[in-house]
Amino acid sequence: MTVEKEEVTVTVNGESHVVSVEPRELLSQTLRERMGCTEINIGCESAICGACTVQSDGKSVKSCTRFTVQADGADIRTVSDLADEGTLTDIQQAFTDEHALQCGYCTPGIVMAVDEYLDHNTDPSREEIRNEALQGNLCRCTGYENIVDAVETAAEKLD
Amino acid sequence: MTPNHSDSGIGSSVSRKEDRKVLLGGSKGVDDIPLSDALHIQFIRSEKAHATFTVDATNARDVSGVVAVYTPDDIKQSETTTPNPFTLFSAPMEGVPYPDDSLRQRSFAEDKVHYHGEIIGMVVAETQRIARDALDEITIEYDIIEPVVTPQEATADDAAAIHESVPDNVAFEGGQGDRDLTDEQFENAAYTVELEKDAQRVSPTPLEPRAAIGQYDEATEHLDIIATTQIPHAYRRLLAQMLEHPENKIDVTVPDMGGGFGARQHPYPADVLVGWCAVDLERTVKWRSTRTENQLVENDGRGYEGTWEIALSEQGDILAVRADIRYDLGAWIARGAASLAEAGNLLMTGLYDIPAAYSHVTGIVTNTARIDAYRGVSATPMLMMLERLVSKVAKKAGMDPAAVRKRNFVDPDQFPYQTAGGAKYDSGDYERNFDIGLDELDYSSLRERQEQLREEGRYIGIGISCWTEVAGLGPCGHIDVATWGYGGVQVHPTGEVTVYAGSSNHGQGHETSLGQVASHELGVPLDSVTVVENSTKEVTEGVGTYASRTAALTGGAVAKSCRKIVRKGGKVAAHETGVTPDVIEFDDGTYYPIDSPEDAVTFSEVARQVHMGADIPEEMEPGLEEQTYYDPENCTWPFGTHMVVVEVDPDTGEYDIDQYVATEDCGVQINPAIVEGQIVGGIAQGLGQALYEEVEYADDGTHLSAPLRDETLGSSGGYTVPKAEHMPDITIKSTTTPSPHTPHGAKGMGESGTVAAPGAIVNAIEDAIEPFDIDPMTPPITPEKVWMAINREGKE
Amino acid sequence: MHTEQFSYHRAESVKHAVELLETSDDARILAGGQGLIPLMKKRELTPDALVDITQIDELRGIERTDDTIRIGGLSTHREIADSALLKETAPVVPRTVAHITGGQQVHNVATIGGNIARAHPGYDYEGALLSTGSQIVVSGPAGKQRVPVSEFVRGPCSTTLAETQLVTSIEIPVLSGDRRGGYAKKKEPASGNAIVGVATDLLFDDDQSTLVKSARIAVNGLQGCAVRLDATENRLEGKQLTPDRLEAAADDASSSLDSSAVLDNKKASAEYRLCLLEPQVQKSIRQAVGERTLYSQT
Repeated sequence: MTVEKEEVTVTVNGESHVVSVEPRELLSQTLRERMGCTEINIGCESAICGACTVQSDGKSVKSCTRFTVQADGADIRTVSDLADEGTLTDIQQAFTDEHALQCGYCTPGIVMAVDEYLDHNTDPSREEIRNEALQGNLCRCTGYENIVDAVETAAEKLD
Repeated sequence: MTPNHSDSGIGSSVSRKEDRKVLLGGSKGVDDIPLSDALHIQFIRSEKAHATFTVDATNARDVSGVVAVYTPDDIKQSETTTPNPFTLFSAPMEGVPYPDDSLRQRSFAEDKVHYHGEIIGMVVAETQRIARDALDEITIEYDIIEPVVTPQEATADDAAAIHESVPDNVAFEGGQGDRDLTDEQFENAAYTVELEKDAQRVSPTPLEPRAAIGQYDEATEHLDIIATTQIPHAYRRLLAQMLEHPENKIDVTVPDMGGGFGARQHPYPADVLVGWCAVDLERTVKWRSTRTENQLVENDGRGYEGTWEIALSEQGDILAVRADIRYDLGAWIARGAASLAEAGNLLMTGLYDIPAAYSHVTGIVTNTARIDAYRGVSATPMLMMLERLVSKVAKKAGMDPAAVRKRNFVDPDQFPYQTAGGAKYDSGDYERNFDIGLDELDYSSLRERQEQLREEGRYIGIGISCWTEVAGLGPCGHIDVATWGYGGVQVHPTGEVTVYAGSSNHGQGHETSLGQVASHELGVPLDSVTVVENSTKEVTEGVGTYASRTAALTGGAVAKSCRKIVRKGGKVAAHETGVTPDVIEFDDGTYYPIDSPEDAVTFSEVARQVHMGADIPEEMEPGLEEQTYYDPENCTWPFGTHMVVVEVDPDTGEYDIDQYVATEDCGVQINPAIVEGQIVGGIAQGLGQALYEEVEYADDGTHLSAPLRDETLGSSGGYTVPKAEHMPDITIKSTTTPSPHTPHGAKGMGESGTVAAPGAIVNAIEDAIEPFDIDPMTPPITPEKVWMAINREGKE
Repeated sequence: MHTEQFSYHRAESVKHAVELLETSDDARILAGGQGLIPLMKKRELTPDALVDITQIDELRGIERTDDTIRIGGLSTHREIADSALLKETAPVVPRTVAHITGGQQVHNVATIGGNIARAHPGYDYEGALLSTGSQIVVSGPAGKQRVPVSEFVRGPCSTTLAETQLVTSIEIPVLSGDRRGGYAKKKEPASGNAIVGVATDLLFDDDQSTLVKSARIAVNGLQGCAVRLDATENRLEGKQLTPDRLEAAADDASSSLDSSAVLDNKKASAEYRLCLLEPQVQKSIRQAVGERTLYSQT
C-alpha cells in the first residue's frame, strides 16, 4: 500500500516548519527526527510515561500519542523554549534547587506538564501535585518526593 | 598535610552540575545522536518460549529500503566471525564450579528458541520504519516443545530439558555457611519460624529503552559503539572477546543515559549483534528498542523462591538462620547471575550477631528471559526474608520486634565483624542508628496507640527492616573480573582540574559528587572541576557503576590521585620556598612553610610551574596529572533502618502508609542531597516490589508484562512502575559511621531503599492485621490479597 | 512504535465523515486518539484509513437546549471538567473526569465521544452517563439516532455503533432542582482504569434540602457494562437522607445485581469487586451530598 504524504505546517519553539509526512508519522517522531527536538524522550508505547510531553497551543500533550497530521497549524513548545536566554524559569530552577531529577529522562516532559498545571492551579496541595500535576508522568529514579517539593517551591515563587 | 575544605567540598549539598543541561533540553541519549547515514536494525525475535524453528525471510529481503536480512544461517555463513558465547562474571560461590558451558548465552538462536523474545535474526534497513514493516514479512514456523516456566516446573520429573547437556535444568547448586552447626542450633532453639517465598521477578525498567549504535571504519578496523551501559570499559572487553576483535580497536561511549539500576551492564545479545553487523556491513548501524522489546529481554531481578528459617533462644538471642533457595536464572545464565548467589548469602545474617547460618542455593534454568542484577540484587530477598523472620519469631516468643533487634545487633566494638555467612563487615553502630528511627516514630507510644486503635476497630501496623549491602565492591581477586576503582586527575596550568572517572553517571550525580571530592582534596572551587566519564576514548580505564561502588571506589581513586598531586605540588612549593617538603602545609588551595605562612604559594601557581617544567626539583617530571587504580582492602557495609507505619482497612484490605522513616548510615556523605535522592528513589522501587511489581509469564511462557499500561481485556492492567500518587512522603535521618578503609570514610549507598523497603512495608502490613490471625503474605501485597488473608474461608 | 500504513482523511462535516467511513473497508474515527494510537503502535489495530473528525465544528461545544444538555462528541475531558454549565446541571459528569487516567496531557485531547465509543469496562464515563439517563447521539448513513447509553454499550469494548457511524454528541436530560453528583473509584494501579467506579446523580429541591427527589447510581468496571444500583436507589429516593439511610443504601448496593455477571479477572476477582462496591458507593454518595448536613432521625 502506498500512501499519499500530507503537508503539515507546524510552529516549533517559535519557528515555522512545513513538512511532508506519512500520515502514520507521530508528532514525537517529527519533532525528534526532523526538527532535532531530542529533548522529547520516548519511554513507553502506552501513553503512560509522559516523557514525550510538549505543549501544543499551550496545552500539554503526549507527543508520542499524536499523529503529526493532527498538529497541522499547531504551535508546539518544548522544554528548550522555556528559559529566557539561559535564565531558568522558576519551575526549572526549583527542579535543580530541590534535586528533583536524577537521570533526567522524564524531566523535560514533567516540566512541561507542571508548567501548564501551575497555570490552572496556582496553589496545589502535595496531594494534588501527586494525583493531578504528576498523574501523566512516570519517574523511575527519584521516588517523586523531590519533584513534589520542586512543584511546591515553584508554585510559591510563581504566586 | 591536612584535608582541605571549601563550600563545595565533601559534605556539602550543592546543586547538581548535571541539571542545567537537562532542564534546558540539552541531554543527548543514544537515540539523540545525529547520524547522517545510519542503517536501522530491527531484531527478529521469537514469539514462543520453547520451540525449534525455521525462518523464511524471502519477502522481507524484497522490501524496498531493506539493506540486509540476517537469519541464523546468514549470520553463521558470513565471513565475519560468529559471536562467541557470553562469559560469566564469576562462579556461583566458593567451591562451586562454573556451570556447564552450554548455559552461557548465545547472541542468537540457531535452531531452537529458549525464551519469548530471543533473537532469531535481524533486518537492516534505511529507516527504522522500513525495518519495522519488513519484520512483518518474515515467516517463522515453530515446532513447540513443552515450556518450563517456573523453577518448580523445570525441576519436575518429566520436565523438558532446555539445554540438552543439562537434562535436569539445574545449572548449579551449593551452600554457604556451616550447615551442621546451623542444624544443631535449630535443634536447640526455643522458637523457630519458617517462611516461604515466591520467586517474584521484578523488572528494573529504566525509563530510557535500550539502544546501541555501531560505527565501523574499514580502513582502521576501528569499531565505535555508542550504547546504554553502566560499565563502558568492561563492556568493551566483553565485546572484544565475543567478536574476536582487538580491544584497542573498539571504543565504547555512553551518552546521557536514562537510568540503569543494574540491568545495563554487559552487552546484551542485541548489543553484540549491533557491533557484529557494523563490522559485517562496514556501515553505521543503529538499534533503538521499544518499551515492549526492552521489557521482553532486559534482565529481571530477584527470582529467589524457597524456604527461610530462623531460630531464637528462650532469652531472645538469634541462634541461627537457614535458607533453601531455588534461584530462577531464566533460559541462560546471565553474566552476573551466578555470582549473585554468593552476594546474597554473604548477607544472610543482616545486622545481627548470629553464630550460625547456612544458605543453600540451587540455580535453575527456565524458559524465560534472564535474571541478573537489579538494584538490591539478592540482598533484597535475603534481607526481606530475614527481617520478616526476626519480626515473626519475636512475636512468637512474645517479645517486641524492636527489642529483639536491639538485643541481637552486632556491637560497635565487634568490628571488623566476621559473619557466619562469610562477610567481614567494616564498621557499624547499629543501635544508635536504630534508636533514631524509634525516637522519630515515638515507638513505645505508637505501640500503645496501636492497641487502643484496635479496640476501636482500626488497624495500624509498624514495620521495621534493618539492612546492609555489599557496597564498594570490592577487593581484587575475589571474583574473576577486575573490581578496582579508577580515577585520573589532571591539573591544567590554569589550576583548573579535569577528573577522569572509571565509573558511569546515569542519574547518580557523579559530575557533582566526584567534582566535590576533587574540590575538597585540591582546595579548588567546584566550578573549576570538570568530570569526564562514560567513555573508553576519554577515560583510560574503569570498572563502571554497579554494586553501590562509585562513592567509595571511584571517589577513593579520585581522592588518591588528588593526594598524589598535592604531594607533588608540595615538593614544588618546598623547592620554591627553599624548605623541605615535610614542613610544607597545604590548606584550602595554598601551600606554605609551616613556620613562614607569609611565603605562601597558590595551587594554581604551582600547577603552572610544574606544567612548564621550569624551576621544579631536578628529579621531577613536568606535568601535574595522576591516576589511581584503587584496590580497597574490603567492601564497605553501609546500613540502616527503615520503619513504616501503615493503616489497613480490614473491610477492603486497602492500606495507607502514614509514616515512612529511613535512618541511613553510608559512612561519610559526599553530597547529602544526592544521598537522600538515592534513598528515596530506592524506596520507590522497594515499595514497588512490596506492593505492585511482578513480572508475569503465561503458562506457555509468553511474557505478559511488557506494557506499563495495558488495556487488553482481562489483563493485569500492565506492569506497575509506581506513580507519584503511590508514594508516601518519606523522612530521612542519618548517622555517620565512617568506613575505616576508604579514603574519605564513604561507603556507598545506591541500594538501601530497594533492599530495606520491601521488608519494612510487608512487616508493617502483617503487623497491622495480626489480630486476624493471617497466613504470611506474599509480595506484591495487593489490597485484594490483604482482604483475602483477613477473610479467607474456613477462618474462625 | 510505528503503526502500519493508513490513509488519512480529514472530514469537513458529519456528513462528510460518514461518506468517508462508507468508502473504506476498514476505517476508524480519529478524534483524541488516546485509546486508538497506542493500539495502532502495537499493531493490534491496523485500519486502512483514519477519518479525522477533529475539524468538525458541529461536534464541539457544551450547551443547553431547553430540557437537554448537549455535549459535543469532541468535547475533551478537560473541557468537561471545566464546564460551569455541567457542574451546575449534571455535576456527576465533570466529577468523573477527575478520575480518568493519563493526566492532564490526556485530558487535554481525549474526547467523551471516543471514550464512550471504546466502551472499555475500565473507562469511567459510562457510569456517569447511565446515572444521568443520557442518550448517545450517533450519525450514520441512515441519519441521526439517539441511543440510550444502556443500549449503546453491549459489553466490554463492544457497542451498537456501526462501522459507518460516529458518536456526534451526548445528551443529558436536565432536571429541575438542586442536582448533585459524585464519582468514587478504585483504580487498578498500572493502567489507572476502574476496578469499580460508582457514579451518583442525586436531585434535591434546593441546596439545604435533604429530601432525595431522585437518586440514580450506576457502577462501571464491575460488570461488562455499567449497571444501575436499583436497590441503593430505592432506599434513597423520596426519602430524607440520614447517615443511617446512606449507609444502609450503600450496604444494599449488590443486592439488586446479577453477581454472576461481575467481572472476575487478574485486576480483581468478582468477590473482591463486590467487596469494594459498598465503600465506593458510600464515598460516591457522600461526595454528591457534599456539605449538606445530614441529621439522624430519631
